Amino acid sequence: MSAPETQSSARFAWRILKADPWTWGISLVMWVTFFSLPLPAGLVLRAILDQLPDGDGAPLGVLLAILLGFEVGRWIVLFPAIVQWHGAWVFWHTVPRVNALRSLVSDPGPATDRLPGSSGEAVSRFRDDARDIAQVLDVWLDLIAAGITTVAGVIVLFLISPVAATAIVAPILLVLGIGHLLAARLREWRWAEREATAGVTGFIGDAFGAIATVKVAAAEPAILDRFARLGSTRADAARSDQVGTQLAQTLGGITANAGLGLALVLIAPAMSRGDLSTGDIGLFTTYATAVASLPRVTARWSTFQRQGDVSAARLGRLMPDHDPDQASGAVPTFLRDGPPPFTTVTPSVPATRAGVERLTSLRVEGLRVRLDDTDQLDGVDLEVHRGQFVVITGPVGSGKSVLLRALLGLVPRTGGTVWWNDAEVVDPATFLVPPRAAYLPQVPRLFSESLADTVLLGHDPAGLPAALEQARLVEDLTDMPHGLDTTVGPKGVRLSGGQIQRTAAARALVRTPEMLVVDDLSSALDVATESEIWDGLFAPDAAALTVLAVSHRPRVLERADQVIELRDGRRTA
Amino acid sequence: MHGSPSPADSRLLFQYLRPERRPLSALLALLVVAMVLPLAGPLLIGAFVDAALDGESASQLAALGGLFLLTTLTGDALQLVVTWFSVRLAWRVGNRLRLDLCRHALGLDLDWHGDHSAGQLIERIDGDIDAVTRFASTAVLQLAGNTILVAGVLVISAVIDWRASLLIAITVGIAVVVLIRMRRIAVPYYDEEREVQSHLYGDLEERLGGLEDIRANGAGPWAVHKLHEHSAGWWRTARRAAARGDGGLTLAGGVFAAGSVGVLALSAWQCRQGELSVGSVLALLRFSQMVSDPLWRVAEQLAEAQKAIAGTRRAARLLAEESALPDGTRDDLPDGPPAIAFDGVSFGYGTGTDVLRDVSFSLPAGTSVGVVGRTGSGKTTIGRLVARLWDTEAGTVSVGGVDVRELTLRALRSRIGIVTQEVEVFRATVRDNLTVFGTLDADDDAVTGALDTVGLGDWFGSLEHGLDQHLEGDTELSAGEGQLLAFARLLLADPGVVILDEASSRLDPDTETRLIAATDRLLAGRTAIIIAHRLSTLDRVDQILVLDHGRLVEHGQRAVLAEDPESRFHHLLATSRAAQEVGR
Repeated sequence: MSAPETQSSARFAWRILKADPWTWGISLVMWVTFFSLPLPAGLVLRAILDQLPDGDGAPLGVLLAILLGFEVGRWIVLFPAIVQWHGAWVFWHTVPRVNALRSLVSDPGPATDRLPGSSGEAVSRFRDDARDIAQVLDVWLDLIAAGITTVAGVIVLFLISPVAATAIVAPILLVLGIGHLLAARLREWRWAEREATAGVTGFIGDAFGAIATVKVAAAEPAILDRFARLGSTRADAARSDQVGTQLAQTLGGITANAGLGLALVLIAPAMSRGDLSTGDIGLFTTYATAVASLPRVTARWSTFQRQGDVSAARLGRLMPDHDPDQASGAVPTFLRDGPPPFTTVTPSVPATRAGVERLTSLRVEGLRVRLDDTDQLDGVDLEVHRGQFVVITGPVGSGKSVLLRALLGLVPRTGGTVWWNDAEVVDPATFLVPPRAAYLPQVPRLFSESLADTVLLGHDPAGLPAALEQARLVEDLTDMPHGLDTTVGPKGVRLSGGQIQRTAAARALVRTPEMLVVDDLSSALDVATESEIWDGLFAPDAAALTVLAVSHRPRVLERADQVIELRDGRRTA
Repeated sequence: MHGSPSPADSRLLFQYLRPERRPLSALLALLVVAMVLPLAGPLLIGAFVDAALDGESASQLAALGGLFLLTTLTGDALQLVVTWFSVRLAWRVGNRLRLDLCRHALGLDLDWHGDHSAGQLIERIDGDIDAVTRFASTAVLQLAGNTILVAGVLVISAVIDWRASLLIAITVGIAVVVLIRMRRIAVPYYDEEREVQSHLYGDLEERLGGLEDIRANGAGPWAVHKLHEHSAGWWRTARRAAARGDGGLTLAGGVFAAGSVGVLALSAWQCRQGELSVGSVLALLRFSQMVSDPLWRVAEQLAEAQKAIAGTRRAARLLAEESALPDGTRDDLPDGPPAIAFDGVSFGYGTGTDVLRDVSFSLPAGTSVGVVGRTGSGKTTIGRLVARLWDTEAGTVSVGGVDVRELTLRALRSRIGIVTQEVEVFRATVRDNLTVFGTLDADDDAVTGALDTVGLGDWFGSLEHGLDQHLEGDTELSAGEGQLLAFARLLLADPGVVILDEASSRLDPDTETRLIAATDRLLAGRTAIIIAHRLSTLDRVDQILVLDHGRLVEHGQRAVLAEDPESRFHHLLATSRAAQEVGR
């Protein structure tokens, strides 16, 4: 268990706060009011008790009415405070999310290496880490409100009885100290519990994700055995964590009553002398509770701040240069009224393209990629001319897919230059996109939206029928329950591997790119269907399309204008 | 969605709690003490004030103060002890239930698993049970303890003054009604908020998973737009839900506040009348303030209870699922490679269309058959039926002369090894991946040997931690390397029956040739079914089956069919050779 990387969550949270100080400031005012109202209420209570059993001061009825106003008013303030706070809570989550997603989809340079391995873990950056940061902003509200209340309360207590004030403050300081000592241990326990839980859930996910393999191997007993062992490890970890948490909570809760008890013991002489009144005792009971929230809030603050430090670093890793400042900067969130309507992207007509939009030639020299300390590509050259069909082939692990992805700027290259029409492409990731290039990956991902939307992804729908036709998807549409409106993707109807690949082909084709980049169309298609697709793309009357593709299939190689053979990251033909 | 819990659900929970009766009742006893102790607090404060007013000595006052300190600290300490025991209990019960659910889910058939993703199962086996055990341990105790506390407050305050006690009871009653009413109103709004959030995260997860698809196709602005839409939806629903749900809490808080001021007014008036001491006024005020805390806790725990009921119901439903493949009883397959026979087999995946229609063939022990046909002709299904991943709709499949339905699944499957197109790599160590978590009894030498044989020796050599290296699922291995790993698994399993289903489809021709050479040794003397697009893979099989739309349209010795110019297989061979020659 190595200590995770950290960045200042205070700085991160502060930058979000500055992005919209009003949202946070309004919350603060209301929170301070809610926390501190018991203080004046305590003074009124003191006055009331001092009028008993008989008194000649202010009339009891008036005092009671004022007390009612403070007590009930406190809850009336809370209502708008909570509603407003929920809006702020969403805002604090949204700022880093929007910053991160924007950067991931459109900033220069490769983005994939900024994301953690599994998409489940990636989404936890956006969900859990964003929440951890929001918790920091939230706990600041509590901390300031509790701090103001405590300081003010202690001052009043001192004015009435320094002895009682000391007695009430002493346990608070003691618990703050113990809490500080306990904090490190609590963090360890929490960390161990998280790890153990992740081990259990990860194992369930893996075992059932590969259920066919498990069944075929008759591995059920081994799986159960492992599951039981992981479960008992986790039970041990969880026990320490939960009891530790309860211990911290109990310590935090002890202060009010312990302080009050201590005060009662210490003020006994003053009380019997008559230096302190019944009203003072009443005030002590109220104030002991009001000022005692500080240790609890402080403990939460230090926990959240520290959790936030890890989250700030993790959110920072989503950004270029791993800079957390970029994730916390001001950004429009459109929370109140929703985003403005999406303006669809209308592509230029291929025939009218000129200049930098139009592809004459694409040249790559000495392309190198090093991933995980191994050379995936070791200086590859290639050249593609307008209208050509260039096929890359080679054995498993020879770097075919990496070549395409490095060319498109999806993985970082360690060397080499790319020229588009003899002009150097500085950042392929933002340059080799539609209308210049479109990409069909080896394992395409579709999204859970209508078939039309997952093909278009914000593109102008005018080209849709042509693209579906080119991708040989029209026949499949008639079998789908709602045609183009059928929800596809992970949460939609199950498409076959071939249908997914053809949908992704339509997605690339609807963008009418100058150059189409295709990674192994054959892996999920039978020979006949694949041939039909290529036939359609290279029909004599079709617009001149430039294609760079990975394939093993002889029929595809046969059709190619140029075949590039890779072996161990080098070009052999 | 939420119906009332059926008796079966609560029976499930009781069934798991029954062995824990003793610890549970001991816990409850401890809890009663822990909860009753704080009731002494207000009385002692009252006594302190009255004693001071009566002019008692400082030492007597200090004794009362000390007693107050002692009871409150003892109460807190007891709470900790209760937590310690209840947490242990929760994990004992919870893990027992989790293990049973896991065992049950593992036994369910693949059709069922097709409808339930691994993510769902994480929720069903782990997430739901969390709520159930938290409820069974903590919440039940909290509910009981806090009810005791409220009842205690009412009883003791009634001893001091029945009118004040009545007022406290009325306050509690109103607050409870408010809480229940507002919760009922708020529930649909909370559901709405959760729904919006699950869309938000679901959408994000997919976009992040398909980040390269998005970037390289210029769809970034669309993804960001969708995030904005979902976030704005969350903002709206979160505020709406808070206005109802937390609105109810603030209203109840107001009721409590008003109630305690009312108690103060009432007792102060009686004090003026000389019916109550000043100390009693203060004690009654403290009692009236003491009831709000337990009520919040009960309200919290009721939410837990709802989750627990839903969780128990889902757990009970999962345990009630029955596998469509009842296990057989025989485990007496003879040693050595078994013969395989299909007799009049028809099968469809429950979709109404038959994938196999009246297929019959027999494969003598130790021989091999190649299955060819277009995509969707039913080739893969043949292998799946042999391993009894599904049952036939008509006809029988027999292995070693025994109907597969009579054999225990374990006896059957431990004799069969399958490599398919879709290889599943576990996020576990290399060793666990190859031995399937220890199912295959192989020492480290055997494991590394298998890796060498399939050509993964170099890859293995590059791993820092050797066999203990943790694989992060599919990300570290290319699709082709994954298939090689599956072959290594097969070598270790050393099964009597080998089924290769497009097992080398993701390999380039060279790697495939080398692999086939290596596995020739494996196939020798075993019963083998080989399914392949590439006919070159089938050069050494004994028989050929040609399938077309689920029907067996040709079946014979490979050598005979290859020579017969009229045969379909001969025709297929000719086409594929022509394609190969052009390609080279």
